[in-house]
Amino acid sequence: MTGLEYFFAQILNGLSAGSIYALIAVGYSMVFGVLQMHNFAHGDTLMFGTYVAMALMLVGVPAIAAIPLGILLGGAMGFFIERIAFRPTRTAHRMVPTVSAIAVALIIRNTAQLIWGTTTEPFPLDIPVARAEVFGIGVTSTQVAVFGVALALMLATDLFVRKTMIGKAMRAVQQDIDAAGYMGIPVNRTIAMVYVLGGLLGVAGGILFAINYNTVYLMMGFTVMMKAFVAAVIGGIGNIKGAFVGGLVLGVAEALAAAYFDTGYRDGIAMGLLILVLLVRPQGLFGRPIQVKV
Amino acid sequence: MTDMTTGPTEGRSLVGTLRSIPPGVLWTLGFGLAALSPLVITDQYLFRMFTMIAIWSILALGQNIITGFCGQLSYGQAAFYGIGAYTSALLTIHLGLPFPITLICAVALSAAFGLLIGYPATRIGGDYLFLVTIGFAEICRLVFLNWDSVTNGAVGLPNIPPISLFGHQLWTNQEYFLLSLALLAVVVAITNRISASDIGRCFLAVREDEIAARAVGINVARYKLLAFGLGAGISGVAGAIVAHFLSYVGPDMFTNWESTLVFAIVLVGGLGSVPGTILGAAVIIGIFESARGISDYRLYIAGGLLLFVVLVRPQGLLGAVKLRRPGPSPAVDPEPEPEKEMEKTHGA
Repeated sequence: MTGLEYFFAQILNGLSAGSIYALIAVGYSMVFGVLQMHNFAHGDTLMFGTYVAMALMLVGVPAIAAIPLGILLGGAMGFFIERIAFRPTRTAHRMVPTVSAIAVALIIRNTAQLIWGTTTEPFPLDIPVARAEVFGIGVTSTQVAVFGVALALMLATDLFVRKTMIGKAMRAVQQDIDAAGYMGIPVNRTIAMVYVLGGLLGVAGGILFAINYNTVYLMMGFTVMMKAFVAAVIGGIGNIKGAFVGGLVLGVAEALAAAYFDTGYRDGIAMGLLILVLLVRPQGLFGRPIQVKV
Repeated sequence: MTDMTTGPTEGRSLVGTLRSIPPGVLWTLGFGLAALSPLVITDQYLFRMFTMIAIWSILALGQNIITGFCGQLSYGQAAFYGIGAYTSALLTIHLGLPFPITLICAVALSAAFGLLIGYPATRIGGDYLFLVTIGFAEICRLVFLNWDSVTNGAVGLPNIPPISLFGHQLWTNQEYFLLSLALLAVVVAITNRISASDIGRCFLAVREDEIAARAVGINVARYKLLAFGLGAGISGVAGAIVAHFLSYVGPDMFTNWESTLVFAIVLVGGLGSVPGTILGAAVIIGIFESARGISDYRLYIAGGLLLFVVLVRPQGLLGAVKLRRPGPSPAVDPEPEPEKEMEKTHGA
């Protein structure tokens, strides 16, 4: 393999990983955008849903049923997290919901640790992997499938948010929660729906991550959530197109850094990029500067 | 701001009596009694626990300056703890420098990193700092783990020489307890001094309402940075002691779990409360040091404590801060005291 082919192979690796970050970033970004609150439990939700899908497959449930069940569980967890950690604390100091979300995240993580332990497991999806050569660069069917599914889910989310009534309600609540309430939008139900959507997209991304790297581990949610957040900031938080581009940029940067620099620091690249973006263009690539009004 | 007059009436008598004594006297009395404890207690294991409580109190006071005083969420205090620990350990191992100098270097380096990560995040509003601190702590852990030539990777640095002061080497747990107690006393004095100064008032203003603080001419970004620098430096003190006390540092000592513990100590003890932080450290470190068998459930315990605090007792055990939303005007403020003040001024 020549140097140039190796380079493009790394770009392809980066794109498939990046599409996963992008998908999770879309969910995280929407959840953050609706109340301007970090949902620290987002990462542990996606870890838990992925583990449940894995566990179901290990007891013989076919993947076609186990994976949607894991994703649905993620949606349900999003619903309950909003109820437990965010709704009772909505009128409190903005620090409070973050703390309650950390508390819920720790409880979810401990539960997963008691059930599945702290070891790294392979994801038991047994699909034949086809390899193809395009201009001398090896591509696996897994990479293509991961990228395609992530892209399709993101487009579906974008359509859902722009075209459906619930989606429009979500955007209205995000823009002005009080005005949305006066217009007769059921604010509480809409916020809950955003968390459900975030959970669904999160677990879908978590399972794609597990398939892409053939690995499931306890801290995967924590790691992936941080990267999704960075992708969302790169693109401009609350912006679906931005999250998509941000995810791809991050994925490619990571793959190149791991290939040419040091794999040990792979997970640190995201934070370096985050600090760079905050320094140079704090509103992200596609975002507008946020003006806080009193 | 820090009065507790809204507390239950039966508690007021005790609190009132304590309040009539000047805090300086109470602190001197408390630290004096703690310093005399080696005359009464001889159990080595207990002193190990006491030392850890003192170290974690220092660490948590650093977090309390950032989160309690200045209102900035930070969830990566383990990074500054680790930087302090590695700095002191490396300077002692390679250069044989005495502890006071390694301590100063540890504090300076931790504080410098505190300023460094605070800088980009203060450029924008929102809670970006929160995730930046988590990410920074992860980077630090990766550096400790991967920079083999300096940090010795996953193995860590064993056999760190004990602290030697005035030609006397510290060996027993009692000696380390007295040293950590002395440093804790210094940190408490500094923290109290800051909170009473104009810097402390500006922190308070930033915490309560950033926009209002900016409107009265406070340089919000500068005070956030200052809080990060101070908080990080103080946490570096804890790192410098623990490296010599355990005579070992490794990347496993500075993970997200350690950050969670510090965070829980400050919230359980009470945001913005110095005695609360020490009480929080005593309760939480006491639980985890005395019952090692519960380590499988440690996240449940920490999570449960945090949930309890935010849902049941938001001001923490001895909290000065009630985590309420900064109100747009005093008229809708649920607290009765400021309203009375308002009426008085209006009447006059």
